[in-house]
Amino acid sequence: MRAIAVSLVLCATMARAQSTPPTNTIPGLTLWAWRLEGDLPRWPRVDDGQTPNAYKIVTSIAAIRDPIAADDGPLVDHFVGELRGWIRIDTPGRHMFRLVGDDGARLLIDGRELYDTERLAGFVGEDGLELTAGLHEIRIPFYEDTGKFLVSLQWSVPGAVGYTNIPTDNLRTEAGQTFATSPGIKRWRFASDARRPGDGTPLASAHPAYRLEKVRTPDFKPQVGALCFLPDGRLALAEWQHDGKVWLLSNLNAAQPALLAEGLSEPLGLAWVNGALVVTQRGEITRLVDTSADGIYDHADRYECLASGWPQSANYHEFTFNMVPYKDRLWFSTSVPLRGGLTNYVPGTDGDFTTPNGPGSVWSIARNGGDLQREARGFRTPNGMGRGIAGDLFVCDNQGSWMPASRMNHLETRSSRDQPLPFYGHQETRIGTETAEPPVVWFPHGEIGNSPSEPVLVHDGPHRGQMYVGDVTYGGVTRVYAERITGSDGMARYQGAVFPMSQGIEAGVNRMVWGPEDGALYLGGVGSNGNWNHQGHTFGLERLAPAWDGHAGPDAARGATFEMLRVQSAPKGFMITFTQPVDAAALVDPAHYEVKSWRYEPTEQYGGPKVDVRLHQVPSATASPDSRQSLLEIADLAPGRVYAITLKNMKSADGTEPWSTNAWYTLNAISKKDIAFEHFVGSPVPTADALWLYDGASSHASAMQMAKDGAPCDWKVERDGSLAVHSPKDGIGEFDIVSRAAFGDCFVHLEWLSPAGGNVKDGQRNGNSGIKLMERYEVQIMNSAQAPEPPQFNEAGSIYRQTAPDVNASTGAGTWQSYDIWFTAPKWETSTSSGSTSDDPADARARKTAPRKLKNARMTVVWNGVLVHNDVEVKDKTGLSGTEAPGPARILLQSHPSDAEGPVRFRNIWVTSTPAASANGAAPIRNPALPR
Amino acid sequence: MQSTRLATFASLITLTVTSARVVGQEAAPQVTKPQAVADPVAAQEAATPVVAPPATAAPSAAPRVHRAAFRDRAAMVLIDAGNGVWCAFNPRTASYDVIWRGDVEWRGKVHDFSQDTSRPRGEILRDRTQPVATNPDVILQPGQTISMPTASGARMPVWYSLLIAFDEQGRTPVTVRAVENDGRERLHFESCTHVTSDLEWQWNFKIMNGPARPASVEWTNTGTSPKPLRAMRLEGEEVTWMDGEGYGLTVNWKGYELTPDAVLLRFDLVSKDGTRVEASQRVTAKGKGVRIETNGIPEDYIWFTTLSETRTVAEIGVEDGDEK
Repeated sequence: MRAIAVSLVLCATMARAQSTPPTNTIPGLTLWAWRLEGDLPRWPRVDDGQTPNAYKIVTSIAAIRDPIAADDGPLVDHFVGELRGWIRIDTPGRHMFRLVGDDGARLLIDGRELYDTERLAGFVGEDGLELTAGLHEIRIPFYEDTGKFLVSLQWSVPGAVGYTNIPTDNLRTEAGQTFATSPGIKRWRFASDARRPGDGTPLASAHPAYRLEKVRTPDFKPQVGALCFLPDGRLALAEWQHDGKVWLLSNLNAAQPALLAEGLSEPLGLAWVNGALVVTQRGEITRLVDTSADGIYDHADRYECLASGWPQSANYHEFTFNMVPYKDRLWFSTSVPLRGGLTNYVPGTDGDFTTPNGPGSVWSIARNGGDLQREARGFRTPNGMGRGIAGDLFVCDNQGSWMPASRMNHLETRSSRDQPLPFYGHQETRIGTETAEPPVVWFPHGEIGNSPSEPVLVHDGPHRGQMYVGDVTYGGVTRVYAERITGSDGMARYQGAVFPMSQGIEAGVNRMVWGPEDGALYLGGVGSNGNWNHQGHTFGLERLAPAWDGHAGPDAARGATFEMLRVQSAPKGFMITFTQPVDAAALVDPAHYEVKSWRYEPTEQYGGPKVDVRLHQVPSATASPDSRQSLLEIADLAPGRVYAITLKNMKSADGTEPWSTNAWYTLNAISKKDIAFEHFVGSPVPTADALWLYDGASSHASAMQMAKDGAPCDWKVERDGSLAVHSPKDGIGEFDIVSRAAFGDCFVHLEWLSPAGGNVKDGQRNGNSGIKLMERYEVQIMNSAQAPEPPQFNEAGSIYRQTAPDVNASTGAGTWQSYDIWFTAPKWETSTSSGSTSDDPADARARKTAPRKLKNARMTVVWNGVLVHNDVEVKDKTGLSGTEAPGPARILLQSHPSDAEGPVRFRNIWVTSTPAASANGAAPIRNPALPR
Repeated sequence: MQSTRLATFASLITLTVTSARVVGQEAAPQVTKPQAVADPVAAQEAATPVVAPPATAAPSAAPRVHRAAFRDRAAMVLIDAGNGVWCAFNPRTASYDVIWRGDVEWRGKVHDFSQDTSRPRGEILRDRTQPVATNPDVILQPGQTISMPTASGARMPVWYSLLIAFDEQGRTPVTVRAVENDGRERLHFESCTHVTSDLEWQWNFKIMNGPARPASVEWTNTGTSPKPLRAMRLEGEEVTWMDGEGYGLTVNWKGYELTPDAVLLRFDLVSKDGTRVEASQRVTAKGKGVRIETNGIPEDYIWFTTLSETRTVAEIGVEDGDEK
């Protein structure tokens, strides 16, 4: 125990208020305190995004002693805290301050540290501080190791003799705070801690696959409530600020906002629907209409109500969030009330919500308005809803009462309105009455989440097929991998793993949207008072721009950063897939893996502790032949728990540290399916002699033509440069295109995206297309689901209706995928036929004398960098293709009727007949077929 | 919304001015945001901090609309006529709850970080938002019940929704019941409390969706220590439009349009047999007051209002000699 009383060193200049106090203050100071673990011989530093265990207003700072009351038990030893607020000076002049801090305290006034007791060897001569009249910011950080705890501040005002207690009314703090707390031990370290960002501590910068770029000009400081791109490339931004403005931004390198609309009430959702922006504001869904006849959408003068009147009160916490087009309707969500800033919701009797059947719900309306339907219930603060994997709807919810940690949910849509609403955990009545849908992932509070916001599907790059999630308080962006696993009830549900992805964003991330032209992720920042902000920032607009070469394929950046790419459930543990080969010895050594688990129990308390925390033995770790994967066996594996996997001293084969050592897997159910190691070979870079059929940057595909009549290719080039299939209404192949050049043996690389929607059982109208070598041998393209869905012989990756891929390497609907195809043409006896199949008698005679096929075609196919067809024999033409015949033939891209949400798109299609002709010194393209 | 026939009704409701509820708040003329002074980047960028429009700013010339939670009512349409006169239009009842000359005291998370709702400031010209009932502050003893009678027999309005609101002190809940005339319990709940000391006040409320006409509201202290209660009140959003037979009409709010000199409100009135009338109201500044022109309403429809000389044109705060 150290008892140290100090007085301030004289500061000659009069200190003026440096921070601006809030409009409304109440007497007292705010006290925050965090529970730590371990000896604290010196100042500890709490990691960012840690919610305090105790959060209250104290009306006197004459003597603050332990224990400090907290929801999860009193704070007696091993804690750190802070008193903060403003001190009101009534009479300008020199004020003396006397601070007692045991075990340590500091005093900061107007942001200037006046004393740190750690540096004090004893009393320092008394002196004063000149202060003007008014409010001055005051902060008193403190910490306690063991023994008695005391923090005391007294003052001596001008003309007074001796020290007195500071009157309560001279201590001021913000009114209207929300007292958010969280139980359990918080993450902390010493300043000298050698742990690097990403190793048990928050990251400090953007993921290397991206460049963090500014978007706004310095004088534009939006608190972003919503983001949405218009079809013409302008970015619409709604401000969660006084006067609720909606701006349109052009020139996204130094965006100057142009005002579209204003006067909205806390807009927190935007979507472009039927030629206008639809905005979600508090209590109403509104279409912003520009009635002028100039044809330019730039000034909303009609504010049409599409929906309102759902049960809602004026309570500050009953927000209306999100605006997501989905299943031909518009979806949004509402949150529960908090009374008096106090956050624990204690249900009482019958219908306890202040406003029945409204708060904490997901809703939908018709696209043109009306037909308001409640779709799901049991949410607390569902700020963040988006289209994710397979185009499904995912909703993030925030920790609080009945929500032990923040979570991401998959919205299970009902097959009919007669079915009960799915329930997601936030109780409306006394506990024990309802079973909630399990989350896709929990975000362990303060470890990897605090206030998760919008989820987005990652459609390109090394993480494609996964989801990114913003966070307002923890900050930054996290990554979620999810897979469908069948539980004990026979239902397949999403569950998966959370990974750190990026930090260093200028404000907590509230909304995200992908740029349609540049493929960058635009990040809208927000923050408010109290601790609902990231590092005190309240506004921001930046983007994460792809840092990889777009021509090198979507897997080009995969090997650039060493990290865990996926964690999948396996019958006895987990399969971890890394982005690079791992140090072989570490990969198979269980000592390099730490696995802990716990579960959560929803209670009326704000947030929940980890219950039944266990450290698991790892009996074995089995490595894949290429050292990219490790199958961990976990002792005492049980469902219904979160598994925190930490890599210990694990490096890549070339000695690189991992981007992050942490992953958290929410194991609702244990998969019963064994997982085979994948054979990842990557994707070749274009050769020097590559013939580009489409490079993703042209105004049209000049190297292609219409198959039916040789006319120029009429497929449209999208804003991002991709080539969109001209989908026929009914006729398969009506708008096929073919290369102008013909090929025999060749290597083809192409990238494709199949959007969500449509039904594979309904004529395979689900984003169907295909690439046909020699116009005859098709590799199927489709929006097939990711593993663990089994591969099919007529879905993505298949040699159509002949051979299913060895593994399902799909990254799912709406993501850029790649095929690398080594094609060996069939071998024929000498032939005089051109291979024609026409009715011309001459051709018919030629066909009668056509040579015999000696060898079938063969293919080796790599799908998203994974070998899926290993030198497979293609016995015949596929599907409805033309009859086999000798001679070179064109490469065909198929047009197929589709009910998906948009056309299939292509980019980066190149062909070479000589794979050995490498480019720029790169290694020649080797056929990765494995020896038989 | 069920239509309910009134046995008796008044065609005009007399003005009653009520004061807004304030719980531990204090006003200040400037609305600014606190800065994270520990972060030098934030401090640098905050050199020109974002400042919300001060509450005493001069009104703009063109009429504007602001949506906000206002006097404990959600999603209100606040019309700034452009000459210093404001109208608080309730889109659920198509009624002008308050018309005043002055400005708005903006309250709420995006205005001043408070948990309060905005309120009018200035000279009230019309106000129909008086509480249905209030009760004096009280300290409820263990086991004691206090009752607040509500609407009297002379007036039997139809409520779109009712708000039971009160502040309470202490850690134990009270039980609240709303009781109908025939003694049946309409609503029963325990207040939600979580405070860290016996001295903290907490605001609690409950909305009853209409039609709701409780005869009384009771608070019972089921705990073992005295329970202070204050600002107990019952407030309602009253059905405003009736058809010619006295049946309440459902309002279907459709939005508004801004023109250089007016705000045009649009809403449908739907009768119990599904008949739909498209109505509009054009709000313009006139002199020192405001003019409201109503179109599309059948002759026999009734508009409960404090406004009117006639139902099609109402001028509030307009003084003799005022020209548009």
